[in-house]
Amino acid sequence: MTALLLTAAGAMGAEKFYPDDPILSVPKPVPVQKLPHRRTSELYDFIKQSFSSQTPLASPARAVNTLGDVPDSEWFTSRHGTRRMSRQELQRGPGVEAPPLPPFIVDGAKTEGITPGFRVTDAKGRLYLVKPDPIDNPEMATAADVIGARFFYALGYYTPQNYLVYLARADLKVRPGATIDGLGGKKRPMLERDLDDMLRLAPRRKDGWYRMMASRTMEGELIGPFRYEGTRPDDPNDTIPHQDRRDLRGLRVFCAWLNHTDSKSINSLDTIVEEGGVRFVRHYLIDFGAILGSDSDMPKNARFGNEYIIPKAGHALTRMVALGLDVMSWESASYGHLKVVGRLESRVFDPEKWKSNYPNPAFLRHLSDDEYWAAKQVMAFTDEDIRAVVETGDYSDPRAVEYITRVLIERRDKIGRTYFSKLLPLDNFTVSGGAVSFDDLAVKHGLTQARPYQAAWFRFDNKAERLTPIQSARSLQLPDEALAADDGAYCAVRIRSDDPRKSVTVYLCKGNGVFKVAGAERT
Amino acid sequence: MRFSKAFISIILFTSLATAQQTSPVESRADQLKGEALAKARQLSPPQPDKLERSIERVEKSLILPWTSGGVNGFGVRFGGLVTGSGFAVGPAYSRRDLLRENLHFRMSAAGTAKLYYNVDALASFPRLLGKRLRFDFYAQHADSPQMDYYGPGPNSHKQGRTDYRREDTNFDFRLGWRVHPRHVLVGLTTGVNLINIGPGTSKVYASTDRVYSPAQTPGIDVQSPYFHFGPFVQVDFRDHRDNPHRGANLVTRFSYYEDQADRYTFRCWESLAEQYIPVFNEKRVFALRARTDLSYVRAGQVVPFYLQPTLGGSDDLRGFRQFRYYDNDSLLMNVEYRWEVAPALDMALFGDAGKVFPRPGDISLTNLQTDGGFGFRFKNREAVVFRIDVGFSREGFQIWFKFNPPFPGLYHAMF
Repeated sequence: MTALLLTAAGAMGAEKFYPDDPILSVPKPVPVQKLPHRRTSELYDFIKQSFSSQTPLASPARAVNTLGDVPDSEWFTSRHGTRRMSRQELQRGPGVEAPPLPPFIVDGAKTEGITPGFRVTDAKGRLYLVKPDPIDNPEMATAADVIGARFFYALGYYTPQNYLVYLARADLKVRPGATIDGLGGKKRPMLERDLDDMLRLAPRRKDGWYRMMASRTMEGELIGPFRYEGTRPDDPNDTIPHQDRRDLRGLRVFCAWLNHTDSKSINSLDTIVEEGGVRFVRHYLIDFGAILGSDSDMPKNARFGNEYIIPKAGHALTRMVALGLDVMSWESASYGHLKVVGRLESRVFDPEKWKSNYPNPAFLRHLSDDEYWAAKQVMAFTDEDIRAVVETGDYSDPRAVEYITRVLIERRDKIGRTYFSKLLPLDNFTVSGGAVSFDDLAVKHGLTQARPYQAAWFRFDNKAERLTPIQSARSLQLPDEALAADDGAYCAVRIRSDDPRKSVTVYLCKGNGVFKVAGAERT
Repeated sequence: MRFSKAFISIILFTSLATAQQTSPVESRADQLKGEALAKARQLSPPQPDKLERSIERVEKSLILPWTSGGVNGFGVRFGGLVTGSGFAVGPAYSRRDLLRENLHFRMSAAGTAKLYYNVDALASFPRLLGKRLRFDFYAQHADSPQMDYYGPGPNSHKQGRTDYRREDTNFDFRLGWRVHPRHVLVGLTTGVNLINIGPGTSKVYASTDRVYSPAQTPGIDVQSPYFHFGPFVQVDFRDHRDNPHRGANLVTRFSYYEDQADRYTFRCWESLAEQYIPVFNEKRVFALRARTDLSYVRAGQVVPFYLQPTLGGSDDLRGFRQFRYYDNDSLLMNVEYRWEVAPALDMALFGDAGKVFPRPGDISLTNLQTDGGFGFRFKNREAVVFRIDVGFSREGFQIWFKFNPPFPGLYHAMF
């Protein structure tokens, strides 16, 4: 009963806009104490999501500000999409430290997961998880992991520090006391021989060295992966169901761009960190070995990104009966035939049809404005930005950089064309010189010609959330009635262009005699 | 004292949270902070749902490792008996941690409702010369009381079906050296085979010894121990051994079978060639296989029928019954068109052709037995784990349920 009253009281005082709208970051988190490590079974996640019979109904996304952008939080921090990162920043990514320094002491082996690896301490005492490439595809998975961490970091997510490292066998020594899962099913002391066994499965360069991806261990207390639906019930700051978070719904577009088909719960990680004396949970995306043309231990299956692992029954039945004569467009897609790249292409790629390996509840609930927000972040990457990040893969064959860069540019442009055409892509609203100005992102990125705009003005009652037309105002200039209004008054302008069905309504609030943008809505 | 501090902290925290919630929300930051504080008052530990608990129980139990053979210690063995024996199950014991993991040992037994059984033991040294050299010792005793026999040669009749009992006791040694870590394997096999042939136990079909004479079926009246040895070479450029999509595999093995009674001594040359041709990004695969088993005998010697190559069954002529044709030599060709329905399911159309013949010089592409059919291939990321093949021939149709790949190698599971 108390909770109900509190909720009602809160609702009575609700306004559409508050004075601090649009917020750029969420408030300082509520401190958390010790949280248990929560394991997520990959099999459970796969079964639950693949065989869910419910078609999710999407409600408007949350974790957004009144402009539709995602405020900075422990899930997402706007970076390149808001403030252009320099070439050096893009290439550095989340790496705040220098790459690992040999020699390395091997502390143990990672035997779970598709790709085996081992844990090492470098010459400066820093801990890393080290993984090799598949033996038939040197550079493919290690480059994907390094490039992925930098792209997703620049997009706004928290990612691990992933580095490429070149090792001679002599750079590795097993620490006395290191353990490994023995063939007997129990842990046993790790031997130099075990290291040799693992290196035997890794591609060896002509100079006898090995190329590995070294991922710096996360800061803080690891408490397991997050899930793409619901909230963690013991984290007070986790108040929004994950499937409704714009930063997770929009992640679908980023994953489509970079072909991150393995975007699932176990490729995420929550840690408890402490900053400014406050302990809180930070949410990471991890393991990018299966992005671009790589599927970690082999080239990407051409099906991945185009169909789920478990097809619909009717679809599978049709495929059976058709004797394989029904060739899907992705089956005839042409790839670059570079072993270091794997399978990545842009001709058949359709951002609307792209799929993760199995359904992701946040991805399924995406709406047009989620896609628009994500496309805006993707389009912030120029050709040079993309090349700069791809170069961090340190491919020995320059054709690989050329190929991946070209494909990502083409996939980016498809994303822009697709999602900027579903809504009127006006953004970066400001009030200056007595008029509202903005960027038309489709025009800005060369996806459409310059076009005319029509405006309609309204008075706006912030408490009743009611718009009343100001009949005489038809241009982007602020109408006299609005200019004459008192401080605290709101007005709105609805802008249309060549398609009358699409509009953007921009809300303005007057304070200290000047107007500022309070929010925007796209239909 | 500690209790008082904790109590006061709770009261203060609750008061702050309540005040935060009940005071008018004046900013977006207040609203968001209020939501977090409200949740802070009703935190609970994460609880797995019913499905998650069930899956965790299965994952943590020994069920999966027991049935997959991955357990170190006692487990369960499924299958591994001759096709047609029925569903086989039994205990298994394996150790892969002996001699600091240099010795792998497995011992198992399995039996069926039709009273077939097999007891075997395998000791392997897989780590010699940095895993380049492998030595295996394999011993088995098997009893197959109803082995099919339709008479000798390519002109045997379906109506001539009989059955016989076969007891095998084998001691085999195999040494394999990986000349190239992945692509080239050479080796030697040697061993002793003690084979006993007796009357079949079927109540439906006559026993072989009552229908066919020793002249037609050499060795049916008397058997003697064999010593065998010979080299083999494999050149393997397939992308995956257990579910290939591209590449070739060539295997040849020469074996000398010496009969201790010097009546049935012969030499055997087996060769196998496979080629996999992918199209449509490996979502369609054309698989081709050719195999010959040729026997060479000196004057006065014959190949006993129980060591003759056979055709018919799940791994060769799939539209014919198991062991439909026996003779000294055989030629087999298979072609499959496979298409992927889903990552875990392929389908296939196949055609088989082959024949048995009495002398190596009779090898030709005339008078082949042919069949065709379709199949379902259930697979994981790297291997076909189960298949259902339905074959049609002039003698009717056969349905096969198998836990092995469609084109098994010359020697199974040893290398």
